[in-house]
Amino acid sequence: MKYFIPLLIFLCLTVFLLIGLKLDPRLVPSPYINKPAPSFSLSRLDNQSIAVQRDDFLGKTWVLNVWASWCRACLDEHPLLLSLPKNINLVGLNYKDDKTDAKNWLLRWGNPYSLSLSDTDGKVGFDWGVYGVPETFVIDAAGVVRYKHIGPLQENDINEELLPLLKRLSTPQ
Amino acid sequence: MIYRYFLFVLLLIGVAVADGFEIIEFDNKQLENRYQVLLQELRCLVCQNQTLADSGAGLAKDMRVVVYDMINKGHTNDEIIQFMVDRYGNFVRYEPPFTLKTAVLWLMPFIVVLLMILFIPKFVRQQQAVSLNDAQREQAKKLLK
Repeated sequence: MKYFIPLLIFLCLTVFLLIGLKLDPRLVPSPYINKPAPSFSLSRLDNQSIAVQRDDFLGKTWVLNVWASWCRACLDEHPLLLSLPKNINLVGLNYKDDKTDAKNWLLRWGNPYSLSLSDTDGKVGFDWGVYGVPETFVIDAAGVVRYKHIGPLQENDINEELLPLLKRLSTPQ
Repeated sequence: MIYRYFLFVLLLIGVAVADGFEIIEFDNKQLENRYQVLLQELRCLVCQNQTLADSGAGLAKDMRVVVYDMINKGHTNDEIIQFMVDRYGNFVRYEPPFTLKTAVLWLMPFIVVLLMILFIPKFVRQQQAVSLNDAQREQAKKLLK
């Protein structure tokens, strides 16, 4: 009987440790979840004379993917981005990149984006709380950030989180 | 003898390149002090166990530039920290704030020490030797010879 309390403590610790093993301590949750997306004004990668604002995207759910030609992990998730359903508005945020390198990267590996925005100095990324590339945001039709994924997307992220969320958001309330 | 001088020079070179960070100039010493203090209070998001003062990551440099600009524009320390927290959450504070969520983090060491003070004497007492009466002591002496 006197061994009961240590055993209980041990079992509690084991449960916490097992849960902890599955968590990534480096993940920093976004303070923007369920808050309005930060505003921005950037020029398009393919046409520097066209400026794009945050509010241009109001009215339809869209996905912002932060990428760069120097980013190795972006290449890992790239095939998955190319295979996403075409009715998803996937917008690229070209983060701290050289425009020529970026355009060549898209030509070489394929362009999954409806358009890419040039965030050459990374200021917009900084406003969005980007700290590692790639990162992916889902913004709903009202301009509210609903989801952030840090690191390259994997198949189960897309199938179990991204696609169900997009479906939920596009269903009229 | 030459060897010692050589070693000394090598040491100096090592110290000189150890700080490869950008050179910052302020108009007055007060602003510079505030800058140094703030850099110790903010965390680098890439090298997450380092402060902005220590980290060589690109993002850390960007954040240092933001802090520098905001100080020169007249923002207070609280405004600058809040600016970072708005974008990255409370994790960007090097010392976690004391909130309901972090109360366990802050108080756990004290709770553990308190529990140890309360319970260790009990365990120790259970393990202390049982005293013997004279007859038992004689028997023990015989057995131990």
